[in-house]
Amino acid sequence: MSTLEATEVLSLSSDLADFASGLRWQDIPAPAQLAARRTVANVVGLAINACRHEAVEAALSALHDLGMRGKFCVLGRSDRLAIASAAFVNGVSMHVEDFDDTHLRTVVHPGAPIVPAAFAVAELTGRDGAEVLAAITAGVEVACRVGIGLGAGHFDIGWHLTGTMGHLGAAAAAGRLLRLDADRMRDALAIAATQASGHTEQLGTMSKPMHPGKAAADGVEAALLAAAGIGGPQRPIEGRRGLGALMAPAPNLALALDNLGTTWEIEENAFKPYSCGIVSHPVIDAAIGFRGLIADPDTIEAVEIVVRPVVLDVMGIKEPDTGLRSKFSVFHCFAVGFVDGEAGPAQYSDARATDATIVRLRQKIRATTDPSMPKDACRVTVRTTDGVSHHIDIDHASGSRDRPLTNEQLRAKFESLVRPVLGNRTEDAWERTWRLDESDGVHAVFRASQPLA
Amino acid sequence: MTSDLAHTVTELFTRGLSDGVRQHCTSLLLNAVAAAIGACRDEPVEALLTIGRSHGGEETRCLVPGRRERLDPVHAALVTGFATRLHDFDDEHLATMARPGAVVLGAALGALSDCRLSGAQVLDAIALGAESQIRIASAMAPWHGDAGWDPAATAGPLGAAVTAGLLWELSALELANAIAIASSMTLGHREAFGTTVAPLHAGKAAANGVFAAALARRGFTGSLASLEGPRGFFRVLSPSAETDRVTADFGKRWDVLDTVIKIYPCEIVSYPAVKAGERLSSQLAGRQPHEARIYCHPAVLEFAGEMTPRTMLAAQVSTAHGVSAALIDGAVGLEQYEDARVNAPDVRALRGSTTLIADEDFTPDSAVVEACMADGTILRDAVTKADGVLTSPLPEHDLNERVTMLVERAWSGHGRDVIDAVRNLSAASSCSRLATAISGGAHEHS
Repeated sequence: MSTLEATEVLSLSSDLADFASGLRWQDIPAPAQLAARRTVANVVGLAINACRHEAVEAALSALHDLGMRGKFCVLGRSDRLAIASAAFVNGVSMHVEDFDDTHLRTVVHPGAPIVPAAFAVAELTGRDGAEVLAAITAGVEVACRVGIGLGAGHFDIGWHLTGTMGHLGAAAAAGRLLRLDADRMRDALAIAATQASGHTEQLGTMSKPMHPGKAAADGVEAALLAAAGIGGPQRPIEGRRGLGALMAPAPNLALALDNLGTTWEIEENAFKPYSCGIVSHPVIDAAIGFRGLIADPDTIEAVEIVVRPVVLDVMGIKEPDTGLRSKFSVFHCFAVGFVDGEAGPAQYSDARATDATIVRLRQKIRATTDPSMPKDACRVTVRTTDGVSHHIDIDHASGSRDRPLTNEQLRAKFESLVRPVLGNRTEDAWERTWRLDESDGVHAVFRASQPLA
Repeated sequence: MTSDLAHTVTELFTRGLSDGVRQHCTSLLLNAVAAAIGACRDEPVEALLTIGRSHGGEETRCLVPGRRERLDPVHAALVTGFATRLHDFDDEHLATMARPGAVVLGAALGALSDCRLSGAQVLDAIALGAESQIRIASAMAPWHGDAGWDPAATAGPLGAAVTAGLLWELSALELANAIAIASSMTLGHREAFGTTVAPLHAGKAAANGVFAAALARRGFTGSLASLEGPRGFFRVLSPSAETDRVTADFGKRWDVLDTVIKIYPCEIVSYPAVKAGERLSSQLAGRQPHEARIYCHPAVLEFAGEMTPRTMLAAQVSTAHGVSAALIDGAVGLEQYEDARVNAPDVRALRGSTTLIADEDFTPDSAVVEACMADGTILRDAVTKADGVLTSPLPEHDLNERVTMLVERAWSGHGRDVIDAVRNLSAASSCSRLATAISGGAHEHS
């Protein structure tokens, strides 16, 4: 490490605090601004969709037992909770369907921990929409950049970055909306850093979506504590007994500051078009493509799918019997993609997993692997009963880095998630969320999301 | 293992613990309560209370020692754990660096308002929460603490979940989920030692355990392989952990009995040197040394190597401060760690000419202090293992005196009540007397 790098690392926490406390919406270039708005719209739709999920109901029941009533809003619900509790529930509901955003380089899902923290503190302080979005951008930069600095080892040993880095991002966003100065912001980051937590043994349980909820709640609290004068160490991230030294085997924290404020990690945030593991996304793209070529699933005689080996490793369940298992079946993914034309949470229900048409089509699918197949590609051939073979090759799955979801696709995703909850108020909810930057605060988004009295 | 641990503690809780364990935990509880009351009017405690009242839940049923205000369970646990640990005058399990008293007291006070159990059962829930976290920490010792984690805050949330879960009478399966959930709510980087975030570790450990238990009670789930799984708690926090230690002989061997009540309000590695400083002081006859040298175990530099503290919290991790104050003042207590004494010119001057010399030949329970006088003479005192400075239990009389001092510091006239209520807890049919005695309760006090 050069002397210059060593010096930079020595002040990493202060540099990030300086950046986060000073970031203004007008200083953020247009592509990053757009990415911030997309990040918010995506998770708000998810939270509204999942507002009655059993994990959300369990969390709300527990918070009511604890007497956590308050003034702060829960997306999609009329419940009012204490500030950190509201952030907690919104974090859980944004992540529970595994359908949120992904910063692909670090596997941080930044929206679910950071947006709820910002929304809660925005309700407290009444900041306008542009300031809320600036705070979220600051949070995403901090979370993803420290994630980059920790390197792959942090995830490899078992940490769940959405929980660990989510703590830092949530504190940065919350601190920015409390308008903490740089020193207090560093205290907020310090209080959050020592609480960075969440391990991936929890996958498949409610504790996985608990991680961003807890990060959001702790981030809000960290900012409030820092504002109240609770001071922390100067070097919580880069110090000898700090986050980097303890939580990653081979961190290179200097990377966290590379082009800070000139390149924007939030632009690398990707949005899933389908609510299942990312490896089967190209197959769903192909299935939807076949809808333009073949009208009736019963005219399909055979489907040949060629995928990377990893797809069958993680998505190889041939005949899933439950909604949860169907998320791990590339066969189911193709079948719902073709029959329904989409692959959202509704396509991975118990009913859909056992639907007769879907089951029949699934049984006609054969999958083979090709180790040379690129990461987000697949080849599919469908033979119909009239003896014709149709081919679709997908080079880059939608939602991937090379083919990001368009704003129109993002809106379609939002509407498909939200319509079952809000019906004809869905468009209004979209408009309020999508135009947050022009609004005077988050209250309009919350109001639009809630059941009518 | 998560299920095994939950089953074991649930079963032991149903059977009831031995008098010996209850007696020891009564002392820990008494000291913890007194430490919390002693700190209950300190500025950072006021700041946390204000946050709890203005940003916590609207239903406030839970007490905080020494205060009339009520908070929601999570904030009551947070403030109590924080206050107990603030003056570094709580308790410690030496081999693991676990600090069970602050964490389980916080968890218990978070859970107590919904609890209809007898005093003995409350004590058992506290004991089992303490034992669980020490065992989890001891599976990771010594690597985990040496690496830079604060075991009070990594293992703490799991122990707090046990205490809260037992007080809420969770089933074994619910308790297993509570432990699993808490395993994802860990914290504690030692980088924060010397700052106000260090006592926050204990407060958050307690609060997280209460929250995890509340979630589990409503069917929230965690992985039942959370502790030992290939991507679980031990893997991320201490890959070389001896995980068998968590449940081995649970119910037969009690690690909690090795927990000691702290005799000086500072990092425990400083004790031998501070003791030597106190003894040496009586030889000085009022003269001030112009230089001091401390020969000690290398861990002293790692855990208490701060040379220029400006606050109580920084002084707690400064053996140089403890020894300087001991040499000048003769006896080291809370006063020697107050900001005013930490920044007093005489203490600063001596501390500035104090040297720490690490020597592998010293055991953690031994140290030598040399005081160099202006006339060139060098006075010397050696504390050895035989002095038992780390391990001797505080006699009951001394504990009572200490408790009275702590309680009277913030809440005059209540020392006797607190001692009686805690000492009689194991025979009480409920914890209502305890609740009244340790908080404002019926006593009007603002």
